[in-house]
Amino acid sequence: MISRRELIKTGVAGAAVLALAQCAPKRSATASLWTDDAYDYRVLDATQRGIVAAVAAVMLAGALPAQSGAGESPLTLAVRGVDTAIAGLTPSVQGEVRQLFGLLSNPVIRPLATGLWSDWGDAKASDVTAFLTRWRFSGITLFRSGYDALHQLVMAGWYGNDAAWPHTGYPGPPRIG
Amino acid sequence: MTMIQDIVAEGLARGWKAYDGSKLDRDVTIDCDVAIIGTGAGGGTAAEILSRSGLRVVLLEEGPLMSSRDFHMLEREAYPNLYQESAARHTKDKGILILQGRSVGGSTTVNWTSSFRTPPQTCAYWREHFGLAEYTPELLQPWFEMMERRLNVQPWAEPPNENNAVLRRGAEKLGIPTAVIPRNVKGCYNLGYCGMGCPTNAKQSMLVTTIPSALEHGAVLYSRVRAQRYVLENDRVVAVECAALDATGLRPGPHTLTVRAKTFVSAGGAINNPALMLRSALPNPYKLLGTRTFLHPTVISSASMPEPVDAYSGAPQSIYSDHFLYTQPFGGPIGYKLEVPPMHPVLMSTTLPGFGAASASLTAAMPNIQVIIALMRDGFHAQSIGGTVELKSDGTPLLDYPISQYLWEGARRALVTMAEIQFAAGARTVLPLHESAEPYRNLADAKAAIATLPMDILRLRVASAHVMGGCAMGANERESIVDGHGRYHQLQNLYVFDGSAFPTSLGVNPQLSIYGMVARNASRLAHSLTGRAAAAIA
Repeated sequence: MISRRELIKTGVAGAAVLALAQCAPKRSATASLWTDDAYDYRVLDATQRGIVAAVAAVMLAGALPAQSGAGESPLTLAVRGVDTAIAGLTPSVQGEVRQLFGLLSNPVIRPLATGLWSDWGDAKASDVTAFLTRWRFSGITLFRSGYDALHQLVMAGWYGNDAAWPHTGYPGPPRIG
Repeated sequence: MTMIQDIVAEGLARGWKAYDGSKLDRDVTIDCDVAIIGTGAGGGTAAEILSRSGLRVVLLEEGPLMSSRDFHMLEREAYPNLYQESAARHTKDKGILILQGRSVGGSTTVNWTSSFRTPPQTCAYWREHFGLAEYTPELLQPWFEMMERRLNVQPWAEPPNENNAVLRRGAEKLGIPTAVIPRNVKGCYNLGYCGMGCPTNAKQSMLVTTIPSALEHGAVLYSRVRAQRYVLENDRVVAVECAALDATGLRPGPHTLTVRAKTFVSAGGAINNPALMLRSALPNPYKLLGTRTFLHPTVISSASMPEPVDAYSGAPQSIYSDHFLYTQPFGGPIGYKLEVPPMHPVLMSTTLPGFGAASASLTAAMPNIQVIIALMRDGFHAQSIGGTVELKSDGTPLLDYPISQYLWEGARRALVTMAEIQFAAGARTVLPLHESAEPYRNLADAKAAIATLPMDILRLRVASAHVMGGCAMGANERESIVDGHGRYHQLQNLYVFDGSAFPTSLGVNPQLSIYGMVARNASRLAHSLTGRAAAAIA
């Protein structure tokens, strides 16, 4: 993710990205889908949940099962799993994750850093795919580390759930005895 | 359902002096003969030897005290509870993922049980370059033998699981010798979940062997306390100040624990040991503290096999090859050890490259995935000087470990080796774990791709489960932090008894090297403190 020295190495453009990201508004108007969730999130606010949902829907495309029955949707489980994963990180690394979300939620800087011009709530899957691909193969390590952080959090947040396992063929832990 | 004895719960019921720091309701100060910071391979071994030799021991651990009944074979529980930084510790530039334990028992609670003596070649290098005259296989042998008896180390007698069998089969077809891994288990159920805490207490980790024994002999254990600072008076440590953590185990709570002792043992592991010493501003006249920290940087190759592999099931590591450690001399291209890792859904999905449909098609074939890892033996070459431990602004440690061209060259060779073995064993496709790689259908395509894949951080997946060094031992205080007995050169009563004392990496999984070295050095310390021969623990 993002350290200050990394930013220096990244150069002026990257520093500007972070400077702007740190004045990110607390909430954007795009998170309506996630504002009403009564679940007791430990770290993610509604804006951040909206970002995680948009990213997870694309990262886990083909792996998330179809909604069946009345329970929580698989995507909701994935977002909650990411919340739990972040809550287990050290305070210092949680701070880096907040910086990352600050960058991704800043309406001025997000388009420059990610190539995503619409708000997260309106972003098309193809736009999110383009953003993730741009960061994944970026020549700037700061962006590659941002992609890796999102990848680790989303994958850990989803594949730790029992609901993820039928897709994989993993039978779950054995019974002892 | 077989009843599994809960060694920890029974001990607590019998009156073990084991306390959860997060439940402290006031500041506490205690006195003892020896304070041991850390409860892993080094701290556990030292605790049993010192307490059975009649010394009053206090053990300090940052993570929680858990037991077999808490180990549910679930990654979502194990990683936050049992690993440093929720199993997401990274180097400074995020280029290497580091897996290190953080609970009572340290990494021995979560390791994959592989138990190797320090290779004679490594000992010879230490004698030649670091003046460690007593590090000979002959002089270490009785200590290895004692710890092998204590922890029931034996070559795995069951057939290897298919993940390991593929490594053996492919290597044998190529004329590459393999061997069976010795494991520290007793009555192993062959489940495959060693990395999430052994649910049957078969693994002879410190949690179920040396630490219970130390507690039976009067040792005191505080879990969920973070050693913040050594307090010095002249050339002696007089106390260690600890923060009692809050209920999350992540942040300091309102209370402190101060331990005053005659002697102090640092056994918090590489990275955390030098960090504690840097926070304490210990004498560091040659600016070596935290330098030469080694990782066995590890690269990974995944294969899709025609038959199910079920790499989540069965003893995780039972076959290895050291062939590529010794095909070139020290000073030449870097050598690497070949092993396999277990695969579970979180470990698999976070490690495989890509996202969306490409990722989903890989994870959908999980039972057929076979994985080999190559662990590079760092620290034996001028272009492999390891990493340096620094402190973040909040005092927590950060390892700066740049990957040199010398290492990238080794990574590229290792990826070719692993693809060769996997195809020889019948793989349908082989995928080097690199963001620009794809599953290759034959060796020629794989080799052509590996030759041109850009070797760079956050493109090639690099991981480590073996952190060594940072408080290197050596005869010359200008080149090391501690002497061959583990004593801090500039201080009278501070010892380093764990893998942070190694002056290079080892070339093998570290636990047995730590047990043997610490058994000898802790026995020597017990003798010097009591005037009597140390207790033999097996």
